[in-house]
Amino acid sequence: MKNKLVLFIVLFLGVYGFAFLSSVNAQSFFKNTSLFDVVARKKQLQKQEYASIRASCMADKEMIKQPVKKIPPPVKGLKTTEGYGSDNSMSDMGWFLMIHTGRVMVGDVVSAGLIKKSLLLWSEANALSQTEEVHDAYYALKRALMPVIISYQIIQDDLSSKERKQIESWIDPLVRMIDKKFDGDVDHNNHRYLADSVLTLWGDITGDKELYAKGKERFKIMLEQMNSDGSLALETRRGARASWYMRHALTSLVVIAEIYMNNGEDLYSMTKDGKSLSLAMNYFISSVRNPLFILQDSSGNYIPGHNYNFLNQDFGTLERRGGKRHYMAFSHIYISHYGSDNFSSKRLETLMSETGFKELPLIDDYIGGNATCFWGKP
Amino acid sequence: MSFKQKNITIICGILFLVVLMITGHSSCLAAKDIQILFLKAENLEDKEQSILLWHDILSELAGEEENNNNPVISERLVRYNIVNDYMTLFTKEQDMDHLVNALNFIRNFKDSNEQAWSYIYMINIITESVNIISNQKLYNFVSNLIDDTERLALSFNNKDKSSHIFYALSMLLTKTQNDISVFEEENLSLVHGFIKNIERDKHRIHILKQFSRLAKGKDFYPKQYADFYSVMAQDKIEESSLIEIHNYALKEDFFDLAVLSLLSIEKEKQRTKKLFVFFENLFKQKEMSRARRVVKKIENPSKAVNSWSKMAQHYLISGYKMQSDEAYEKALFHAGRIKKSSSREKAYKLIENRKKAAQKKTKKQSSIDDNPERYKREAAIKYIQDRDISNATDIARTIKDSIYRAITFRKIAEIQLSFNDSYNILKNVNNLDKRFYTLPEYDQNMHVSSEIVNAYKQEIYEHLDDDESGLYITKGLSSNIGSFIHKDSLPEKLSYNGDTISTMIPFAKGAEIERSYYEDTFFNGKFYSVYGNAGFSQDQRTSAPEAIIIENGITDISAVYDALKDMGIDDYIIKTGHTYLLRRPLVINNNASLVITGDDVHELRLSSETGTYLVNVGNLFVSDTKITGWDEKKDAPAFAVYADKRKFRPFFTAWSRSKTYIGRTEITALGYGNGKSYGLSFSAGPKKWFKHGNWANINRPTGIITDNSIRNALYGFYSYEADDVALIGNEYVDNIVYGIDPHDRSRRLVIGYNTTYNTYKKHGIIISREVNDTLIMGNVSFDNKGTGIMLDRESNGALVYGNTLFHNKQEGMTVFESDCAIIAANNIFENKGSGFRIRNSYNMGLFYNNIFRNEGSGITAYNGTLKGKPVHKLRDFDLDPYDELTTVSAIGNRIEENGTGINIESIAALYLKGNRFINQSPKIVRGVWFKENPDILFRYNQEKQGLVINRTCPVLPKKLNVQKCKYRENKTLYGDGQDELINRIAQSICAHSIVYESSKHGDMEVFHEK
Repeated sequence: MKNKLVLFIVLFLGVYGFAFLSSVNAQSFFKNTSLFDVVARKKQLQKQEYASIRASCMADKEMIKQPVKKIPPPVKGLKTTEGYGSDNSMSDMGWFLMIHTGRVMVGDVVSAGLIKKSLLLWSEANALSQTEEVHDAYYALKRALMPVIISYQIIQDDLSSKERKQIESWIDPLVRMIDKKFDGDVDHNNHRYLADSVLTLWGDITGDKELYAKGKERFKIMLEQMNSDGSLALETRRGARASWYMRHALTSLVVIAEIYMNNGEDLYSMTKDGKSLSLAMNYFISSVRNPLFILQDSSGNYIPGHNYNFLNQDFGTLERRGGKRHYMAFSHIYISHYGSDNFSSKRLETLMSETGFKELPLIDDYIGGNATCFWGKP
Repeated sequence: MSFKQKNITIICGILFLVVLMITGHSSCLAAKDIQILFLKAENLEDKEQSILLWHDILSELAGEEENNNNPVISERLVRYNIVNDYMTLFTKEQDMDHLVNALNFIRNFKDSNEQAWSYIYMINIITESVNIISNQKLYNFVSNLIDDTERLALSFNNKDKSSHIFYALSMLLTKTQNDISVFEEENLSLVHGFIKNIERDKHRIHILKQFSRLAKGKDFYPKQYADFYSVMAQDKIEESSLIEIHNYALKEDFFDLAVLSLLSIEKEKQRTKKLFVFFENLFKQKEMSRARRVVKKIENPSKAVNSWSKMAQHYLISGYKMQSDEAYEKALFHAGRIKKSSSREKAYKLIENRKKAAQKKTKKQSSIDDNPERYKREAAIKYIQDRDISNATDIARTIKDSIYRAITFRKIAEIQLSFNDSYNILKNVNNLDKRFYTLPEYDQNMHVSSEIVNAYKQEIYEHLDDDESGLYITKGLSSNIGSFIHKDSLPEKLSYNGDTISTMIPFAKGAEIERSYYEDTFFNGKFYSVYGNAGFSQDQRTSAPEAIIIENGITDISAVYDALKDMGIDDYIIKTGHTYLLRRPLVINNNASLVITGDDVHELRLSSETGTYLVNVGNLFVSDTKITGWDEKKDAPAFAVYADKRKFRPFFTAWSRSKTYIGRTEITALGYGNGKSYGLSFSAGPKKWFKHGNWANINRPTGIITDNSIRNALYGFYSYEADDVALIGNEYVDNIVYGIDPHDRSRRLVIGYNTTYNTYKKHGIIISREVNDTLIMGNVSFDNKGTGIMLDRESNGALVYGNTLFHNKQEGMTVFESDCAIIAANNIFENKGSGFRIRNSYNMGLFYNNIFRNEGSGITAYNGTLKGKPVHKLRDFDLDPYDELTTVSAIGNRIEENGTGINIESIAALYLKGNRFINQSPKIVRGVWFKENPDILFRYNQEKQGLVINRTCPVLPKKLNVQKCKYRENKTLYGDGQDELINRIAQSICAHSIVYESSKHGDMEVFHEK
């Protein structure tokens, strides 16, 4: 009998302990601070001087291109497309999440509910899991995941552990899918940078050190790849879109650097033979300011898109594009990191004040949402 | 300049001085300050102000010790920003001054690539903002920019770089506004030429589509392209239409069009497939140049590996090592491009296997073993191994295959040299420890010290000074003189052979082929003035004769032919199978190379009817082929005799800066009797070119000619101020005046293992007029109308070693007015004249030669007055001065059964030691000295010390630097008892005058003291 009692106590303590530890794990397992500190930013946005940014977080009517309460139906998988470009069937869901994450940041509970509902719906449907295993379909998936992860991160406190488990069980395999290599340029260029930015974010949030380490590894490889003038040859050979793709690469690199920065490791300052992220940034800005600077590199005219005339660079990247997104959204992160007392940051800020900053907010899938809301300063 | 800027400049100036005083560094602003200036300049609205600021920044950057410290703000970026600001100003104000300013600024760029891209940027901005056709001034400005950019692109060694420039230029030129070309046809037509310089398929197809829409139906390109451009202008380009054009092009032999039509197939898979099949066909037809040019266009890595490794294998088997290496490199490069690792490994394996297979089988060995005339070669070798060179050469000359005959003669020469090589030069040429080449009996302990030599000189000096008889005869020093020759690196070049050339033949990489008016280049001037406009006009049937010019790059005859055909010119080169008939002069310009190999060209015929010749100012590589002066009317080689010497025949001339490499090639019927047009000529110049350049820095022509058969040239080889040419192992037969004739100040030539025979008019080998420091070694020279070998007109410092000279109609070897030579270990027999004939030549060392059965003397040496003699009436004594001074040291020679042993008359000094006279009847010696002193030869010649006979005071017409002889300086002639006499001559001490008279002895003029 005495033995039975001891056994009961041991079992009771074991089960209770396991449950306790599991709950502790679940709490510390998922970070609020990764690409940015959600809690601190929410608090900052409450300040009076952030009124204009709060407005950006809400996004005006013009920005909302569809009924904001209508959750886009789950997409089973992304497909390869014919010719240039990639599957954009995630576009509506991405936009839906990005609009609402901004609003959640300023306390919009309706938006929080919509995000929750949409993520549960999509996870239940195991959406995107049937994505074709070809590089351009996977590229679309890479692009889709950042808003999904950020929106989940922002509302995860409102979820039950069951709901969290459901959503995480949906996101995690999707994230791991995009680690796939295709034996091609996409394993080395902005496609890969984007994949690694997603892997790093997910690794950081979920505590998967292996995934997290990919960001730093990519940074080192990128610095090896970089030319001494800061150009990334796989991007700048892209004809009229040379500058465009250079910016694509920079976006994901800035995302990776920011995640590491928030973990106390400064990749912004990492150098290799005088090459650094800021050198690449300067190259990009110089190419925008003076197309002659990128002309020779762009003459490779490698898969340039629909415009074969590499003599005239496509600077559409500086303007809000059709889907209301803005490719320069990442500039908020960079400027926020450096402030104005840095050469490249100052140049970027000047450029943006002449262009993108005139049409705030800047929202983009590549940085996971409403950059003005997450990093913008009044 | 704004007030603020002025302040910055002043502060900067002060800082500059302070920093300079303290640190000695000239840098002024810190990187941070430069960044501030940069930001200011970048954001200035006023572009004239920003340009000033950019220039300030440029000055600052130039002052930085290492620009690498500032990679963010590079000088290139700042330069580009200046160009950009000028163009912004132009766009705004449409003022051409801004363009001129930009242009002047860009022209100072050191980097021509930067220049080219800046020009392209300018053209783009101009054509984007202005309708240039309506503004003639602007149009001309843009046209000049296009020309400059093209010129820059052509100057790049990097094909990829220039390809991108041509792509950009083509894109600019095919620009349209409202579907109308921005450019006039004259400029638009340039794109036709640019297309072939665009390397990437997609780029080319892109341009072709744009260009074809504008070019369709026009006549500014060769007519064979009409259908092609019509097809390419269609919205949907049918593959079948392109194949039709390809087949038409093949039928009409428009190779470039045949390739282009396949390259224009849009689907990569189909394009690759067709190109690969085309390659395989060309490979089978042994059109290797064309095959290579097709392989270059295959972008698919697996197919490229397959074709490049096949090419590499072929090159390796054929002995073209450099080409093989490069083809293997390309195969490896493409293998590295294969993405799938298993396929990549497979590709590496294929390359390796093909390499191994090729290494097992070399063409050279099999061609020797399989030759149907092998039995003759073997018989000849048997004779020479039995030391019967006469029968060996008799057999060898009956071999019909010229190159097989040439290499058989070389083999004979090599074996014969191994017999002659008493100083073991062949064994020790690469022995770094050896200072001297030595006889087996060489005794190092017998080297005389400078003290002994000085004492001996003093003894002679006293006698020479005192003795009034005019002759001083004494014993020589006991030394090892004659048993060694100071080592020289030149004999190393005797190892050159046909493989030396074939292994160094570079990979043709494309060059510009131009047709040019004949007188448009300096390099034709010499021939133009000689043959005359009338001559060339008549031959080419035009009032404006033309030449073909090869510019920049490396090309071959097949590619030149195709390029001409592509231009619509089909009668400058006529191709029949692998035989090419060249019908215009061909000039290989500086920075260009031409390759002619048996791989593609079985014979290159140079038409004598159309004034054809080859001129090299760049690099020429010839291997395993034939070059023939061709009589089109007779459809046969343009053979000639001496009487035809004024009649034009094709020739080859290499000018300054050129390098010429010819191996295993049959060269026939070249050259006629006008300057530098003698056959194979290497000459410094031309003078007209000299006037336009800094000639101190321009290299003289050079090259290697080895294992060739050279027949019926006016001169088999001629040079004028050429350096370091190596003539090794060639056969010179039936040449009209000379076999080998280096002339006029040519230096350090190596003439070895050649066989020169049956020269119609004069000598087998002659070096003449200050041809210094020549090595003439191991040659076989026989049956020539003149002598076997001659040193002539102050050709000093020669080593004449181990040659075999026989059955010549004059002497075995003649030395006229040439000084400071070692003539050793030669085998000289059965010549009509003397074995050696030496006139007015001093510091002569005749060591251990084998001289027998010559009809004249074994050795004849004498002084002679040339002025006033009828035979020398054409000689220019200012150009070709001479000194009546002869000194000879004859040591260890074997003198047997000659008309006379030694015939010495009136020379200044003679040293005799250890010469052996065998069956030397009727006379061992002849000449005044021996008449007066009959016993002296016997007294001392056989003794260790030898015999020294010195004139006390020969009188010379001018002061001579007679001691300046490398064989005295390096002690090869040390202690031969002539130094003091030479000193006296050098110091013009002598006051006595000796007067000579001459008499005829048969063909020979002999001088006697009066």
